[in-house]
Amino acid sequence: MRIVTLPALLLTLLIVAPGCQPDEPAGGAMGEGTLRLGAVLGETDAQGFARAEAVVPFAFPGDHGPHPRFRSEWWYLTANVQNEFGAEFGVQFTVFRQALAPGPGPANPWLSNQVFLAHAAVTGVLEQGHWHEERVARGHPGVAGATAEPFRVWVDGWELAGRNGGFDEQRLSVKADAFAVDLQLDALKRPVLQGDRGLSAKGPEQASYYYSVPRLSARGTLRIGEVEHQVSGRAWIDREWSTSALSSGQVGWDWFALHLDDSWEIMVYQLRRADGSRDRYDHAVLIDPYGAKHPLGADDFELEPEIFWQDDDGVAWPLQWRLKALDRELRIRAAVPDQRMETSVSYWEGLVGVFDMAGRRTGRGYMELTGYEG
Amino acid sequence: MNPVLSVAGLAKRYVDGSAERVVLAEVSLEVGPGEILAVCGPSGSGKSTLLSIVAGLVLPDAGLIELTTPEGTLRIDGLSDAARADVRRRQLGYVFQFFNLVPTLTVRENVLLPLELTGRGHLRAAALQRLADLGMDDRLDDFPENLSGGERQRTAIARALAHEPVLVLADEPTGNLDGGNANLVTDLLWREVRAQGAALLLATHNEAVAARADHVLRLGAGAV
Amino acid sequence: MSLLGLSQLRFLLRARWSTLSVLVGLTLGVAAVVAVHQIGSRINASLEMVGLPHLDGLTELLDRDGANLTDADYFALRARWRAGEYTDVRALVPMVEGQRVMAGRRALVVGVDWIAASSLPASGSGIDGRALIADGRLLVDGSFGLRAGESIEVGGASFQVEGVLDADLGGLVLADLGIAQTLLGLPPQALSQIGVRRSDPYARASELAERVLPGISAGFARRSSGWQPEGWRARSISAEQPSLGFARSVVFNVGALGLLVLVVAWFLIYQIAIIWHRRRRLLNDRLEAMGVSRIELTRGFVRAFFLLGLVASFAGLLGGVVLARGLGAMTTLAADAAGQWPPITGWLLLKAGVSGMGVGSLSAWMACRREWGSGSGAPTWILAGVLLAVAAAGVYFPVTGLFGGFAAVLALGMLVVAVVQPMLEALRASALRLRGRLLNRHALREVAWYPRDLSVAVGALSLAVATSMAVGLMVESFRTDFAQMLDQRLAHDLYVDGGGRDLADVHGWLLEQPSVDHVQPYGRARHRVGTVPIELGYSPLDEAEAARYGVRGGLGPGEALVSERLAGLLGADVGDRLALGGGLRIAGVFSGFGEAGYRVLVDESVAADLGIELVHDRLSVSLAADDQVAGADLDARLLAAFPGVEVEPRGRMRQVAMEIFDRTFAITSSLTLLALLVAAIGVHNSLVALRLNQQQGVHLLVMLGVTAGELARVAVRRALGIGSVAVALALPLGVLMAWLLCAVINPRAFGWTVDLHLALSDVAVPLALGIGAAVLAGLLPSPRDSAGEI
Repeated sequence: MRIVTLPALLLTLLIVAPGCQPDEPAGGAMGEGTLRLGAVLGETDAQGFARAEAVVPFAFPGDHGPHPRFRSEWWYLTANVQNEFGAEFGVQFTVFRQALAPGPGPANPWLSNQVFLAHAAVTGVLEQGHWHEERVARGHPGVAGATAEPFRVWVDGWELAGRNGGFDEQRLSVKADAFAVDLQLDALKRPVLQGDRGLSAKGPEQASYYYSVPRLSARGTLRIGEVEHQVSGRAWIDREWSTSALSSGQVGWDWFALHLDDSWEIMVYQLRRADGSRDRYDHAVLIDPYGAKHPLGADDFELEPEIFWQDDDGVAWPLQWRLKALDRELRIRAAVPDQRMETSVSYWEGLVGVFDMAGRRTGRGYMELTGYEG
Repeated sequence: MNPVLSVAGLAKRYVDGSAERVVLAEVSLEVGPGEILAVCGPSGSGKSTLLSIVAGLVLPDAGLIELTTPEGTLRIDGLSDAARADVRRRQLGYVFQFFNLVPTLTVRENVLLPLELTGRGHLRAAALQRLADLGMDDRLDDFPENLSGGERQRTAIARALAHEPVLVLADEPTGNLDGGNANLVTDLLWREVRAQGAALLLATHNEAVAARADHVLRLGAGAV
Repeated sequence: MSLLGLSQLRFLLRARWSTLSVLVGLTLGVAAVVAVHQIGSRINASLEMVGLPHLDGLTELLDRDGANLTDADYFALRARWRAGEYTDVRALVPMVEGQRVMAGRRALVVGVDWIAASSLPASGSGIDGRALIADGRLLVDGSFGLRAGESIEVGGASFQVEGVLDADLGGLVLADLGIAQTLLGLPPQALSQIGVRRSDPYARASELAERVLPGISAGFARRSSGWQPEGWRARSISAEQPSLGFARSVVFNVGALGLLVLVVAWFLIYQIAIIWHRRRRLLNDRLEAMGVSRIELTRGFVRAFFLLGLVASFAGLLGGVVLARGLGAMTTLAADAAGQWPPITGWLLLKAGVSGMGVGSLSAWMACRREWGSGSGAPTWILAGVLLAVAAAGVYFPVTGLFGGFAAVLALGMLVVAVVQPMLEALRASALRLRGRLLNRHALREVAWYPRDLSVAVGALSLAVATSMAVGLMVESFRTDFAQMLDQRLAHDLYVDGGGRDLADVHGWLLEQPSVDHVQPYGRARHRVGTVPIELGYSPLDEAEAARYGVRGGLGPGEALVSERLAGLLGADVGDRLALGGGLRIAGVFSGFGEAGYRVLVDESVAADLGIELVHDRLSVSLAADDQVAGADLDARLLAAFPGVEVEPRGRMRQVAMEIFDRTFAITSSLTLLALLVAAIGVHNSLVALRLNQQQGVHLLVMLGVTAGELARVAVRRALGIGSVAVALALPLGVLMAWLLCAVINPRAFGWTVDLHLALSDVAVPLALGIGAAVLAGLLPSPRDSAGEI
């Protein structure tokens, strides 16, 4: 659920960063230019891009690959895995694609109008640690890109690719300074189309195309520092593409993708509004062991923060929640408090445990919190 | 015989804040050539002040100081600074308790310094002979820091008389010496002053030394 | 406060005059250090503006050593890096670079993958080129006279000026990689070099050191890049920007002089500490008898000086800021530097504090050690041996760089201070041989009589005089060589500068003027000799033109002239071949004083063979000999016809050059004078102490009828004696230091050698100043309250 993140990230990246040094002559000279670039990314200049407005049937494997007619897109993967001794780890890998201009772009790949941004992170529960790294690259095939057939998304040495060219069997390979991940991923459930047959509304005029692969098996190696672990567990993939940006009044969101031990999955998010009111686009989906989805509207579930953790900057992050949906009542708790992604844009994304009200572990998953820095 | 030094009605007081201290009151004295006058008294009785006034370093509040020299009689209290310096240079000789000698000059140079200052180069042989008479002939090229206390005072005596002054002022010249050396130095000073025919005004608190003077002036609480 | 501390404090207050001397001396020392830091930081800041912005944050550039570099090479290198090889690499940035004539002038076009560059740390000059991504956007330097938003046509395509860099970087155009490829007519695979940032601990340490001591990074001999991936050639960024190193050398030199003032202040304080310590000897003995340990006494003594150092640090900080502005106004570098004075940073506070409190405490501690030391430490000859060894090593091993050169200067200075005391003792031993009037003997012997009270102050005076002499000799020698160079170069009557614009039209106009005898066109392009970036100057290099660079008989085909700085860097001389084109033969080496970069001069035919598009942006004009008068208004007419160009007659060129030269060295002279002032304060203080010790002796002389005039003459003679001792030591030291500056430090800092000319006036004036300072110190009355200091 990154619909808002993407433009925010790239706006930060492309506009705020140069403007951060208004005092220096060079930066000052650049100011005018960056404003124009901002206009390119603004709503008014979405002209020329396709928009997520109507339900369109998805066609695979084509829709696993990039949609350059849309401005933004991401491939999002989380995994909760254990080593042979039962030590738990979390893995997150996200690739964002952003088009700077509509159209196919010039023939010279150095002039590509596509920019790719990747985040990778690893959580170690036993270590109570969280490591993350960010990479940015232009859409030159030599360094970053995405293709549907064979399926492959790569950014500056990191890659998520179909093992046999398809989407169902994938390999994630990430090598960062502090950690490395090499996972084989095999889909255990079919893709679930979010929203209305894949058209996911986030506001009155904001929508994206959105589907999830809620359960994949994950197996491979995970290295933290010098220590390598053989790991296995479950993974979740989200795919989303769109052109629209954050709707006004929404300040952030809380999003959860949970694997329950009884083979159910839950995806739930709530959009927090500046006035504190409930957003009617809040949404939850329960997926049964057979892959059938059970959507819930904003009024059908309750999501309440219970315990906050304060970071060094004084920001309070809600790290324990109570979720009530249908007949289930769950407690969701961060496995490690500090799983902040201190990258171009700061957010909290990390491994959580799922418990029943009696405190018994009933699942694992990932949680994403944004907009708390105020 | 005319006295060399004649002091009459001398008075000096110091103002220290609001308090006024009378140091000398109505002091009169006379010393003739070859005569020795000892000024006695406890510390603070004004001995050193009296010597300073006679030397022209300090001016009195009242009184008259006359010095008879071969060039005539001078009223010291009426002279200018420069003239008083000239009197000190040409007519007076000194022996002190400490710091008698210029540390950067040898024994010989210290003794010859008054001759250079007065331009009386013809007295050089006599001055060096006096040093020999005082038993300093083998220490001529030594610097004061290498001399014993007695040797320093003997050099000081030779220096005080080198330019043949009419009056020698001595301020506790033996105060820093043990009994034997003190007697020796006193003997030598007496001998040389009398041989020279100079007058000697001596400040001391040593009664034994005072007893050997021709006259004794006792100071105490500012009274004679 | 403890009673001991209170007693110390009361001592400071009672010894008002010495306390004031310590404060003034130390304040001046701290002020010099602070001022020099401020000036250095400001120059550094302005350097970052003239530095090439696309190289900011990089440590090396990689290329394929002559072979064509393709993007496939880059991606392969990047993949190996990302696979875990080259663990110290932090960023790889592909670039293309080339020259092309744009808007009538030669431009250096640089294309950068700004996204790859975005992971570089943002620093002062680093620009964020991400705004250049998309469309045909360019960033140009100030030399083009373009404004943001304007567009330029190049080769039929239109490009938009996205921004303008304030500085004139000699025609720099920055663009996104693909745009630059288009501009330069290169295929998408073509790259020129890969920018590298490595986490080089040496580089990080030197960046940090640069913040503490601006210019320090120029202090060490340039290190070649330690990283060389197979199949690649690495060039260090510092070698890529010789002008940065040049200016840092200037900053380093100024910094070293600032430090000198502090060293002199340190001697002054040390001397006073010794005197105070001796004055307190009786008291300290009694306190010791009462059971106070020497450690406690030392601590109290050091604390008192620390307190003075604290006050001096604050005063020096304020004084330094004022001084920096004063000195800055005199100098070209700081005056030309755009922007504001740097703020007072934590580093500067630290520096002022360490200078003030550190020097104060150290001096006090050293005085305690010296006065109480068992056997007074190492004998002088061991210390002298060590100092000589340091000096010799600094001179002998070029790898020690500027740092070694200045270490040699400092070691020789310390050597002189160290030998003053033994020398005074030796003089004292021969005092008997002195003849002449007794009062004179007395005055002169007093010079040598109290070595402990005087030696350090005399040494400091010596050092200050020697430095003043050395700097004066160096500057005057330099000035002579510089003037010679100017006379040789300025062989023409008028100089026309198009500021980068091609002057073909002006050239044509000039040739039509009857009063013009000859027009010599000049152009320049960026090039490389091997890895070294050079400025390649070209002109019809006939016999007359070659004579301007001291070469007789003109140049043969395939020959070139190189600047002394480049010849020194390459270790090449006349007859050697340059790694340029087909291997040009060096026909001559010319001095290029003031040139920050490396220069090669060739005939136009050679430049054309190198594939350089010939643009002439400068002309020099000779007037017909009988038409000098008619040509007098030529410059005015030329300006009227071509308003954009600059025209300077020869005389004015020479005058401006000499003015710039003199302003450049104004700061140097000011700092040496400051050192002299501090030394004079030291000597005065020592003399006051001496007179206090000698009060009884003076009293005796007064009793003997010595007049005030005679006493004053004694004082003058004594001061003359002190000045003479200082000067006698300063003379050899000064000449030696001047030689070090000319023959060791100048080549290491700037790559040129200056012939040392021993002019009498440059030797005599500092000597006279030294003696004058001593006499002035001797004549200044003792302060009225100094009697209370016994």
